[in-house]
Amino acid sequence: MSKHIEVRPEIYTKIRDFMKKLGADDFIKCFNCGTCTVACPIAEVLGIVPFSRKIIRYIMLGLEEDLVNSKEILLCLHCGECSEYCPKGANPAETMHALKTYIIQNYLLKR
Amino acid sequence: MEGAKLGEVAVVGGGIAGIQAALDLADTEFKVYLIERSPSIGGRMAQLDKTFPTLDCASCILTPKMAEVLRKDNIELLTLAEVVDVIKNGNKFKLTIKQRPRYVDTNKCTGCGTCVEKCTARGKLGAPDEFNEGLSTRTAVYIPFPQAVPKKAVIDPNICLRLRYKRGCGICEKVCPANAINFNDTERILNLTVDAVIVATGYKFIDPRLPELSIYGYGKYPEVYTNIEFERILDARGPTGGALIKKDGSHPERIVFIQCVGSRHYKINPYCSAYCCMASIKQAILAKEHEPKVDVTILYMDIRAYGKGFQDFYNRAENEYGIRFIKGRTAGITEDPSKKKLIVKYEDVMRGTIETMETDMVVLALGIVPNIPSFLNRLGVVRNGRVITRPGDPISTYVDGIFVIGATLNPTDIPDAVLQGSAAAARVTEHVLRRKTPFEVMRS
Repeated sequence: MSKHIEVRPEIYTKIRDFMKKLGADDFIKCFNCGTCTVACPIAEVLGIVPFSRKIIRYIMLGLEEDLVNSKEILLCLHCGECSEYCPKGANPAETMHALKTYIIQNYLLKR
Repeated sequence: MEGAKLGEVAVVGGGIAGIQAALDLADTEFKVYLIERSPSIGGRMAQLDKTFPTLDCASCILTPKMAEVLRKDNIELLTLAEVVDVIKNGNKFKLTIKQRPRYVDTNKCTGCGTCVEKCTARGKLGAPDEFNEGLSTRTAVYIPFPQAVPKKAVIDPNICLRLRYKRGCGICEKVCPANAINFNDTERILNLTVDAVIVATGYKFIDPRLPELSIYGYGKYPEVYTNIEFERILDARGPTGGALIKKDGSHPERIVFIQCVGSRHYKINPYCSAYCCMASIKQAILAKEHEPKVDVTILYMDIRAYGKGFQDFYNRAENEYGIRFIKGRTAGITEDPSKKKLIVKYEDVMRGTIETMETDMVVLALGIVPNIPSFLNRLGVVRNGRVITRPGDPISTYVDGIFVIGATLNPTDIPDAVLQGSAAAARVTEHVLRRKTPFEVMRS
């Protein structure tokens, strides 16, 4: 479980600004309660727990490499269950949608 | 003695904060009107079994204070009364109070309970007992709880057969040894003129039946309780006589507490309710003391142990009593009909895994919001559902002479409510005496 990580605030700012343009910067409200993980219909089935809390954590810490290598983001169905249950209104579903755009624009198209 | 007082003060709300303010003011030779909506003073604290963090018996602290209210000559107790309007008139306040009929002469009633024994409206004809949060029923003529102050009977006009059909029954009138029953009692409008008003109307719980909270299954599954209901189950005066049992009479093997239900939720109530972490830890410890074999788990978002002795209490619960604390929030409770068990699914955030847990009982730690009386809205001291107070003077509103204390301001625990009650008494003294010349004070 434990892994050496380097927190990179500049990456966080970059992603946040990008997300803000798409109107999906609600994720800054997240306080890590884990409701989204339980609400997610695919997280347990596909064994990608804790999704989507983990992804939001990656953004917060600026772990761009982990973010890009996460297959979870591309698996998300956008059913919106997580946003429905989120007590803070942080809209994880919107975050996943916007992150897809981020990864495609910054990595897949440049490849 | 009338006229020899320093001034007259109305205390709205007879909970622990209001009682403390009234007692302190009465000791300072003020004439106090203690206005309470329900038939007895005591408020929410009267329903509690123990207090945190010392596990003191709640009624052992409260009952002497309640009894003292009755003994003080300077306090006039108005039960079943609600303040309809407050008008500021110069330095005075004119209060309009609506007092509902009790149908029992409080001067004659001795609180013997003969009428309660004989009342015909019981069981299915009765009503849910407010004191036991609807877990038991009460009769039409009833004494709210054993330690009620004033300990006088009261008739519920909604279920009393005589009052509903205007004839028949009337058995309480026949059996009452003191002839205290009066079916012709009517609603009264009282007018008071006072120097200051202390508002201590307390809080109300978030309704667990709200659509946003339907995922917790309150009302759908019988073994999902709110924390005040669970408190009643633990209490020796409660519906089960202090036995920790389920509704079918069996003993639970596991109890799960779910924190932050209806608080810290952006759609319902974005604020922290402050009391629930400690209240759930207290109830978890009490459950362990009732049934040492029971497995108790608390699903929390954050444990906010902010007060004196709270952190020690939390550590004791974890290490001494073996209560499990899991950081995680459930997204739904389902039932296994074959085993009659509830299934709680949650993410263990510390491990990052999804877990399911079979449990017998679920307790929801409900959020609370201030119960703000409508006259405060009309006086213009309420913004966004909260009372605004002066900076550096957190109990004085911008209307000179109106003081707001206790959970009417913000969710408050018992020590803070007592503290604010005493503080309000001091501020009222200062407020009233400041306006008088020294000669007037000496003469009065």
